[in-house]
Amino acid sequence: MTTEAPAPATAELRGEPAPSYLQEPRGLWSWLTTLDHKRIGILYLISVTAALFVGGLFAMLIRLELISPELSFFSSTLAYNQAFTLHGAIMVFMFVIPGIPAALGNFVLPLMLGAQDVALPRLNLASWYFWLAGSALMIGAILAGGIDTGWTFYIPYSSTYSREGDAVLLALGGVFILGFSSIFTGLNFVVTMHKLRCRGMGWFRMPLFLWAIYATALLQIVATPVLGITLALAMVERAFGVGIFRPELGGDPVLFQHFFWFYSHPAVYIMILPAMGVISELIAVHSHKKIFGYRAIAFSSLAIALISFLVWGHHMFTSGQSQVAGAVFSFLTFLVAIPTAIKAVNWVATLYKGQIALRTPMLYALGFLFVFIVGGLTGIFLATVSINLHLHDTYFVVAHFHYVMVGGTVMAFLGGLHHWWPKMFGRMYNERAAKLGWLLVVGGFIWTFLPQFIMGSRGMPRRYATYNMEGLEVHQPLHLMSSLGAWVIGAGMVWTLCYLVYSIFKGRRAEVNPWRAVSLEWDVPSPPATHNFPIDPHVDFGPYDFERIDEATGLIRPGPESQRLLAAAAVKTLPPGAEEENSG
Amino acid sequence: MPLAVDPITAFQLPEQGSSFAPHYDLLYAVLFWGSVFFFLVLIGPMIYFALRYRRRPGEPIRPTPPHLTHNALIEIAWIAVPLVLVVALFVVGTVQYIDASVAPANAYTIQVRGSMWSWGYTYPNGVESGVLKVPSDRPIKFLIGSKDTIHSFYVPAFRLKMDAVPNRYTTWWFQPTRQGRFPVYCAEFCGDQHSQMVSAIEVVSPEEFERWMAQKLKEMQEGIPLAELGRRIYTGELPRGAACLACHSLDGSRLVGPSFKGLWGRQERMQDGSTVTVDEEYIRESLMRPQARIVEGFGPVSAMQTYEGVLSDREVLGIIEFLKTVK
Ligand code: HEM
Ligand SMILES: [Cu+2]
Ligand SMILES: [Cu+2]
Repeated sequence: MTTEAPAPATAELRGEPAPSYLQEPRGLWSWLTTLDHKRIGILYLISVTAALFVGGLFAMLIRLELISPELSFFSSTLAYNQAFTLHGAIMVFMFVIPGIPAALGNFVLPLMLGAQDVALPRLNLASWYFWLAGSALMIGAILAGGIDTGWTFYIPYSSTYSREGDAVLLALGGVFILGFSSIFTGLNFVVTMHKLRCRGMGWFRMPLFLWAIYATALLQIVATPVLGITLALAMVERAFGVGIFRPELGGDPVLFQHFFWFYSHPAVYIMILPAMGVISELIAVHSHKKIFGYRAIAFSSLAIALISFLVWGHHMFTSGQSQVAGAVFSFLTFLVAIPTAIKAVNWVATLYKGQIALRTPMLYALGFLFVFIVGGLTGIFLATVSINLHLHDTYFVVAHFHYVMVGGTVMAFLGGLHHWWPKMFGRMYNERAAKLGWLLVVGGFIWTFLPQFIMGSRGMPRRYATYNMEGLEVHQPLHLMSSLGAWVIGAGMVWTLCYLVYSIFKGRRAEVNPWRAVSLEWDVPSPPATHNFPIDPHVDFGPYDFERIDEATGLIRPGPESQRLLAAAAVKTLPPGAEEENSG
Repeated sequence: MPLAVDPITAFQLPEQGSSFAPHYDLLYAVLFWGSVFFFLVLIGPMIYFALRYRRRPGEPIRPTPPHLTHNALIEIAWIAVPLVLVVALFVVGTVQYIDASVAPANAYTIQVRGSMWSWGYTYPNGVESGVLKVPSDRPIKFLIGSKDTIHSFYVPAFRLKMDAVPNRYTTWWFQPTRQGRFPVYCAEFCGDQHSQMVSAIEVVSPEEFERWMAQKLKEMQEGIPLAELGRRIYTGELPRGAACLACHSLDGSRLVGPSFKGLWGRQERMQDGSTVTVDEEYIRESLMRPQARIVEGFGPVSAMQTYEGVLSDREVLGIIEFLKTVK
């Protein structure tokens, strides 16, 4: 190997620094019409973060109400029901589903592949506009009176008994459009991964994040249309009075649940698979060690995606479906645990004899493992059909899915954000501030949701505005604890937003490769130039070959082929004299 | 499972009120301690490794030796062990579930009806009540339905719940293990007063139950028992659409439709080759959607018109009770 300091590909070629994607072109309009995947990623990042905070605000209101058993904070139970509906719908459809793929994925996926952009940049931008349009309808639904059906929109309540029928229709329309946004993103990523991998980038040289995104994208493409069809049927039923789901028209309300969960169960894996991908990256990079069981992790993503289509009935064990269906769905649900367990073990095994740097992204990864494992294990409780009879629709389920969605997806999102932040904005955040934020978020999370498992197992039903009835008042101390914890999470989130935004303006400038990682996004400047790679890269190393790092510069050493390409390009582009300087 | 101090029920799970609950709690305890075990197996090493293998500043990065990147034995073991465990859990859980959902033949059947936002109960003799008293000496089966949207009939002390769905019956049953009062909740979101949709089951001694029931019956005065109501509809004494008698005999002779003789509990073969055990839900379906399933040898389409909107819920129950008596 050569000993002279190799600079990253772009730095090698630049006479003076090329303007970053953040600088050029200028102006709001250039952002709103951009086809650059990095900018679309940032647009998505801003939008989903806004959704996270709006959804979070509703969560705080819910927790305020539940401090006391009587109705105390809201003026009516209807208002409470609207608050939890909006909380769930905003979080699920506007934040958790698009969060990691559309914001982080958009930014890093082409860079990781060594591609200049996604395959279909216009579709990519359209996806964001669809997100905006769908979200606008959701906001419209709030203005039109607010929806009180729960994020699951079960019929006949949503179709017949909800007082705000028009708002429900608006919200269904919003979710329908958000579905398209999700399909567009998934489709784009699949095509990009098939068509735009750079030279040398075999499937097994892709970082595991991309395998996870691939599995997610398949789910987005295959499952989301079912949601669209279901919502379209519900709208047709409402507009023309055709009996499909509504019992009073001769329809079957349980059929709606089947359709809904046929999408929404895969959707929970649309939420968690990208998170698992992020965690694979964080753990490998920050332990500077090849991931343990690369192929097992890659294929378990696909296995999870496949099985997730066959388990929707586990949300309906008590809906009156037949005992045979109950048994089959229980069995298939148990199978999901196997690939999930494989991943967990491989992550822990990767730490063994690693060279671990406990920086914020890694702390989030460890926090993820800590809570996600609880989420997965309680999933086993719920998959056991007899055990489900008591736990279904109690706070136990609420705790379970917050452990996997917040403890899992949100933590991975934050971990990934802290990991790629230096690349996105070219600035380092304050590490001590970030560690404090981590402590608040993880600590607050456990504080908030652990009590909910206990309440649920003791029989506290979910979606209750009040609990001053016989047998339920006893839950008041645990409810109080949960509400206090929510403030800690809230504080952690606001704190995180503050120091991150502050770092954009005042943070220390980030190196090209601050974490000593070897996937390609760390081989371009921080922040990258508008044009990702001055010459199309050629990789001859795996995503976790950390020995390719040059100790002196922290950069990835180019292989022989890359050097040849670089040299050839340099002769063509560099001003006279620069060559000398470079080889010195 | 009368353990002195149950390590689970001490801080989780409500008091037990049904024969199902101890089995439930035992499996729950197995899951709980199994989860604690696996949690520690994963998190213990995670914390240890994270502290033990810290990178010192400036420490050169070592290449990862191949034996640390994969290990077939570990991976296969880690597939096999959980697989065996979940299959075992599946078997136990499913057996318990079947036990909890299939009522014994001698169960005393009470109809539960959810409506926004209260629960109503109808006893086999036609007594309707807003409070639910049951005798402690026999298995009780609930036949659950809804008048409007979906509700869910939930009794934590029995570890059981089942949705109340409009236009269909669902069931669960339980064997009381002690007398007492056990709260009932609605577990499926049903609108404004969802959280106030509460009731209670009072499990009382058989004598007390008989006394209460006699009182209720007296109160009902002019009300007729369900089976008698059903008989009158069958014969057309009480006109409700076409009288059943026109097409269904009681003596086994074949008219336009199958005879009702010995119908209750019988295995019927259907036109499509499936078999059906005649139970409450099948009878309701036959009345409301006659074309849904047609008995072998009749059809191709049923000559029967739907009774949807013609019969009240109580009348459907009456017909069911009546058919039970046609031996
Ligand atoms: C080992 C993996 C898992 C298993 C075995 C599992 C099992 C289950 C089961 C059986 C239920 C139904 C509970 C009920 O309503 O009675 C459930 C609910 C739920 N799970 Fe999981 N789960 C797993 C992982 C996940 C993950 C990764 C996510 C999402 C990131 C997730 C999200 C949810 C949600 C959102 C619900 C409830 C939805 C609702 O009723 O509003 N689960 N899970
Ligand atoms: Cu599911
Ligand atoms: Cu209800």
